Amino acid sequence: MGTMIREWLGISYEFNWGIMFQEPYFDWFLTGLKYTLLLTAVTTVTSIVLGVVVGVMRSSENAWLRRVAGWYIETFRNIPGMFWLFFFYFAFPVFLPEPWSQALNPYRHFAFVAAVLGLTFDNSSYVAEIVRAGIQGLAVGQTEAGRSIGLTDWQRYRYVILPQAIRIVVPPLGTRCIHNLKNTSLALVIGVPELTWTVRQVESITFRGFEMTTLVTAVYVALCLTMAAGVNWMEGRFARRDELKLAQ
Amino acid sequence: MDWPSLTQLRFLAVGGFPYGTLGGLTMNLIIVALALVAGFVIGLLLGLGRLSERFLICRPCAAYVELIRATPLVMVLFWFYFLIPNVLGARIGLFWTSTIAMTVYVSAYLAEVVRAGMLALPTGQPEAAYSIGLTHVQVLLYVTLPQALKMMIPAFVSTFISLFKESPALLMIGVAELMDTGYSIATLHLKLIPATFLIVGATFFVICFALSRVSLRLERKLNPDRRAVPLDPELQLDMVAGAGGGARRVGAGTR
Amino acid sequence: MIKFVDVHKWFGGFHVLKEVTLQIERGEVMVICGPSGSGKSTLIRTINKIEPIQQGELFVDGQCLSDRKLNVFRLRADVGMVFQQFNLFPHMTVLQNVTLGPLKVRRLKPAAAQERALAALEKVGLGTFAERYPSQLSGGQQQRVAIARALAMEPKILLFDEPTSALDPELIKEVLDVIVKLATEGRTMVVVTHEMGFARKMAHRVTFMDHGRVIEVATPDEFFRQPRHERARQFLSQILD
Repeated sequence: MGTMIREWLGISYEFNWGIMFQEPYFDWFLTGLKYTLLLTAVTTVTSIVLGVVVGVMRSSENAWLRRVAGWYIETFRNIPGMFWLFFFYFAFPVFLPEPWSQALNPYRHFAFVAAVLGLTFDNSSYVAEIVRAGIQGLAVGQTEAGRSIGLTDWQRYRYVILPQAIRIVVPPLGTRCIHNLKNTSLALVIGVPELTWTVRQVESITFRGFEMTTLVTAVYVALCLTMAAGVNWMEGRFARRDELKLAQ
Repeated sequence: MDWPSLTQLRFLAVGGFPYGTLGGLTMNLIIVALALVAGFVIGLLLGLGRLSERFLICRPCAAYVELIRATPLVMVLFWFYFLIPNVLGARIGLFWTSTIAMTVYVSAYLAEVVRAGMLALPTGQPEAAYSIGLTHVQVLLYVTLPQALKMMIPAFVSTFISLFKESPALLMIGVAELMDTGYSIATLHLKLIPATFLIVGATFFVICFALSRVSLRLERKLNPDRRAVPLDPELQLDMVAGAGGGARRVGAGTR
Repeated sequence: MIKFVDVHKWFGGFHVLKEVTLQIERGEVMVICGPSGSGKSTLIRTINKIEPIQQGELFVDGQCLSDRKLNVFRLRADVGMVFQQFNLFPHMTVLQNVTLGPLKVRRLKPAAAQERALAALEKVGLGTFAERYPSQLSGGQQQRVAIARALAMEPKILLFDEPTSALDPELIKEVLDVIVKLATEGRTMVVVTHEMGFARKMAHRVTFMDHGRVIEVATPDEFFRQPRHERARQFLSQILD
């Protein structure tokens, strides 16, 4: 039946689905999966931390903090992620003082580090915007209500603004993280052996692009859909938690 | 800092043209523009299909859109890179392969823009249109689409910007676009790296920044009462799986 | 003209219309009133099948609405509806709003459609507003344009879903005057409203609904002076200070 479909579609390609599970291709696939997951996990954490900091800076009352944060956000949002990957891998070492860049040369994992740096900065700018919008999206009345009860600035943030901001922020943040997962596929240009790299490797050696592409696509889709389900679940939890808090 | 020569700068802008294949910045812009136009037509049909009440139309459209949105651009590019020569039996050239791949990719996101735009219309509008006896097609043509499309324009421009920002991914299938030509020049000589990166980075920055300002102004002009599509346009290409998470407005305005 | 026979409707799990049996004669002006949530808006929206019913039978102008062979578009062309939120098309001028139906549904030639539209606009007192856009009109004017839009289709039945509820008090009169004028012309009209003055003056019969059921159907005289049901009496005492 496979032959029939092939002839109907006009494909002159012999599928060999088993190839993905042969050595060494399967090993590469597993390595790729490991690197993709690792890269996603690390960059998600770092970019959220950095993004929250910048986002808060951007909505602060201090004009200088706002301005600097603004430059940061504009710089990383207007320039593609791939550029930053290249930048941290090729350009950044050039700017470092001589002894440091010499030390980096034999460092095996530099590609990974450069990828983490590039993806982190890129993603953090979007996170910052989301955080800023979340904070500023809260009614000004909340700030005044907090003030009028006599809370200090810090207390106001902790008990009134941030909890609500978190609820507003989780959905777009979640989807941004999913996009981050998809962005890790760019890391292959600087040599990080993640999932997409696996596809190219297998194709260049065996000329069988299809099977690996299908498998890897399925993995990406599964990962993204899982993350999306996770985001929806978190949304539900946050909503319920807030209701519980109010009830108390 | 060593600066690239004029020839090299021209290489950055238009690639090998007219002596060789087109490349550089022009390639990015052309492919993205073509993909967006074609992607809009397909996205419109998909978005409308997704809103249809007929299970047989709604489900496949939704599946297609969700599948593509859960796939990185690079993978979509690989798919078409491998698929097209095999299906058509002949190679149709890198330019068309990448344009088709980008079209398919962006059509899924534009489908969501269309869907959100249609959902954002007050339900009274189509109701009033149906109540004077207009058929489904007539309601779409004369009442709902004109209003929804106008609301979608800022989101549409933002999708253009986002796609342009993702276009360097094209270098993975061999397209000599700006990032690729920049890389070629930078690796010629170590001393050229700072300047080339600066130029390439600045080019992306200027174009995206200008476009986003245009988008802001367009949004203000078209929807002074702020009734634009309820999506933060800049986060357009990020959304996966479901209107619930995506169709929420985070705070004020866009950029 | 309009006949409900044991009609039920659910919105998901919510039973919004229960055992509705009602008959509205040709040329009759029927006012439907009741507290919010009583299902009166839903009821009127089933008449042109904007809301479908799940159980029971509904006949409009002799046709059964659950009939598979029913051409619902032609039905709607003969049933005009005026909404609480006016729902004018903001991207079209007043004239375009009113000519859309005649042009695309009745398939009239542009000149004939325009003539009909202008006549309808004259009738509601807005003949000179043809080239304005809805956003340039007051609420009362917009609603009158909405009435003209319905009239331009020369419908057999006119439905009004709380036509004045979204209007500022000083604008209500201009719209009510138009509706009164139409009522005196012998049209079949079903009006959902809180304007009891109108009901008393113009209705042939009044239907009172509560919690999805038709509680009482009576002439205005009977209904306002001596309502038979307890809930009707409660409702009236709240509405008519």
